[in-house]
Amino acid sequence: MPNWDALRNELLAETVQQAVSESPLFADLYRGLDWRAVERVEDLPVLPILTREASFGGNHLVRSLQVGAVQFTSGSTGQPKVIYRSRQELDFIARFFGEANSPHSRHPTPLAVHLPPMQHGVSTPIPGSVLSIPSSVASDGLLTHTIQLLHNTFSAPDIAERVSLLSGGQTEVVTLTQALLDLGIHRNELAVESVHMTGRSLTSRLRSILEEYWGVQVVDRFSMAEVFGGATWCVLCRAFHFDPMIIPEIVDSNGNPSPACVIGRLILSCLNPFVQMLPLLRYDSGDLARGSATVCGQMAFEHMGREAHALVDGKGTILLTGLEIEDELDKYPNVARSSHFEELKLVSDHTIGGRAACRGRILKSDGKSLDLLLEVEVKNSLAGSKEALMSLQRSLMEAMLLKDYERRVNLTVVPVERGTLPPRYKRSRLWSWS
Amino acid sequence: MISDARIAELVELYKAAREGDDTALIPLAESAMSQYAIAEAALVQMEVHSRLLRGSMNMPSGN
Repeated sequence: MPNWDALRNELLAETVQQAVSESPLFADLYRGLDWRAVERVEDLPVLPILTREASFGGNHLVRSLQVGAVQFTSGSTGQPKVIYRSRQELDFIARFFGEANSPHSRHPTPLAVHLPPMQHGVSTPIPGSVLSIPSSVASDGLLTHTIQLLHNTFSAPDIAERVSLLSGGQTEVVTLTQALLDLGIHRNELAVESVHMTGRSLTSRLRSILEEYWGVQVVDRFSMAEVFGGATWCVLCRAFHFDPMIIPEIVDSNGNPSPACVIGRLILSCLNPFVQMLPLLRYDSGDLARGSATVCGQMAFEHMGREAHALVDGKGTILLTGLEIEDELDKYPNVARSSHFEELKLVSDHTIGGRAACRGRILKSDGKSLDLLLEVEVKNSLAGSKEALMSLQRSLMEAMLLKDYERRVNLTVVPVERGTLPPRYKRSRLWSWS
Repeated sequence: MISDARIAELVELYKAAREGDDTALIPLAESAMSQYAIAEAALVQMEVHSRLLRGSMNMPSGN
């Protein structure tokens, strides 16, 4: 069983010290606190939580370092946040993983096709024992090139003949899969043995589409542009394990540690020297998670979607998580979804990986009951949708009943015509009071 | 500038944590954008999956 805490404890005190002495944001935030007492992972809760709103301003940056890479958050609700990585941290990452990952240890070197979400800026290169070929699905030409790469036979010394790994952003991998289905290309014509992707949590529908096509278990990766590292979905635990350079915590609405298996806010701390220029300590990720039973011995986390998509009552009780809503909505083919890469002619369905178009309203809330309305855009006839939406309504009600809520909850799901609702973004709130 | 000795020390801690991890489920470092590490992590998962299918992996006890 890996014990990442030894590495985390080794670096934590130094990380806090560096943040306070080099970043004016942390000097202000921790003024008057006994931050020197933070030496071990379990000491972290004495520090306040860092909000996204307070982060990434001019006072956050460590100005004694030189910028080596510029990266961006997804900026799904407006201006992306600019993330600076210093030359010093890139140098450290290259040296550390050059030694730790034994880059030349596999013969022949496996080949990967990687479809990065281009909006995130400069990659942080990390030495590994894989030769990775970047490609794209952003146009029919690039998509064709990507498919050719998967078909290609390479004949150079010491590298694999065929591409065996496919990785990239969820939207990109899903779009490629749709194109391969549309073109009638069977997986046996390709040699892909593993599919690995980043992005939002995979819904059950998408996971089964991908696993059915590729014939392998799809590995999901939780990551955020502002955080170096992330968490890898474990095929054994069916949950995520965080990388050693990140300390994850799950806290309740008051910032106190959540009991095991209780949904809370996911708080992340990044360790120096892996992150230097924009230190992040007890950073509120904006996501919900819960600790999960683990098979392989490491701490495991279930990602429960964005906090902004959850249904939370006035007392902070989470009645429905974004993932529960998304997963249920995703089961109904008639639900309208956002589209991607609309200009692609090789792809028949541009909405395959899209987000369901919906809006939640809290109509009434008092001590005894909670009345909710969920409007869902549908693709085809409204009349034909009612039965499916009743079934959706029942499933969501059941999910809420499982939370053992003391108030009576009434949820009505209504279909609305396509294009009626405002667009829904990653960080926009799904539920509002009306 | 971090010294080679300090890097070697941290790598040792990293490797020590990996030892005894019979599942080889190594959470590899990567940024959201790192092409190399995403592929590396995929490779590890591929190995785990194939070992599971072969039945050659000893499942550790859960907690």
